[in-house]
Amino acid sequence: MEKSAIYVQRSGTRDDVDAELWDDISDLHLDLWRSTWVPMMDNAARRLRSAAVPLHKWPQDLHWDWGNKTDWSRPLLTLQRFAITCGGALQGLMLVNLTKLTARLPSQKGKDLAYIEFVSTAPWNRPEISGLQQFHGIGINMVRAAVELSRNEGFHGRIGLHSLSQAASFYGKTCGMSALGQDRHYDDLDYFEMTPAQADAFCRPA
Amino acid sequence: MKITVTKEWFRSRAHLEEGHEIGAGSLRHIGRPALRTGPVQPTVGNITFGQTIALLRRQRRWTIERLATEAEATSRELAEIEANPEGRPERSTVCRLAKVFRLPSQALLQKAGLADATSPRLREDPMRYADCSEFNEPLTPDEEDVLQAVLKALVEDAQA
Repeated sequence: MEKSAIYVQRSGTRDDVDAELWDDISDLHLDLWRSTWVPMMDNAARRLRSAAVPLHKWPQDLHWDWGNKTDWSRPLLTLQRFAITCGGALQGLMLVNLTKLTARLPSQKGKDLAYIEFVSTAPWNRPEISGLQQFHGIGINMVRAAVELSRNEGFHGRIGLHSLSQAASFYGKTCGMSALGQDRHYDDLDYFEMTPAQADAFCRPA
Repeated sequence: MKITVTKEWFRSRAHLEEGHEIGAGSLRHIGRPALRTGPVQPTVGNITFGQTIALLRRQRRWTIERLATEAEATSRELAEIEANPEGRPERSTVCRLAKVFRLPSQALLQKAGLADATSPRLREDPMRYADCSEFNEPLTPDEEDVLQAVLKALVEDAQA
């Protein structure tokens, strides 16, 4: 397992903080997920349930079992896992699938892409779960990692993902991906793709 | 895999993320607890689409490669279908699997989560059972019972 030096930004002060991007999810990461994320996710789920918030308005990852995702994906070479840590705390997790989908944009149709199957950030970075936002920048680092993986695989930076509507502006505006609309075969989530040209633009300073 | 991220690049982009949600991924199984306690045994109610395919394959003593040939799919796709309880297989692959196993395609699409289920037994909790079914050993009597019950439900649902 290799790690890369990256940064995350402290919300509020916008100080850059050294962080690590790992190209796998280790048992230590899973221990951190179980001991620090899950209790906060469970609390959030209890709160939402008692407030009778409809399920479609819940954060979609409250129930994700990263232990299970890691277990089933480890033997499959087409699945790549990533983790971000900062100050010894787990800040983000991602699973990328290299064979699940091919590009749908007319200019890229049928070409290989790296599909972000799941991406999630720590509950203390998400006001909707914990009322806190310690760090941001986890998302752009994960997208950057997926782009670099795509390039390594010869996919020229093409990536795709299904986003919740709440995250659509992040992928559309912040990351510069193309919105292809709601996917009726995938929970009506918004589908986004990044072309090689968009990947090049994303990897340049804004 | 190592990546190089400059502070200049990060600084120019990070602030744009502030206040945004970044979640991407399936809504399936929303509202369930992240951690389940104790092993989940496969029953008619909780057996997943992938487990069903694995049982049908093993019942025939086929390898994944043999099933890939029969269903005109790739081994990788089938390995993921069997291993990934949260996966979303292609409709065309599910239809070809239905043809190979002589099952009603609509019912199998329902089992795969690609169509609305009408049968209560198919609608029951399709939660995961973290089983590794890459092997080709014959089914145990318990597995055979579960498979027969699932097949019965699939056929009855198609006839309903």
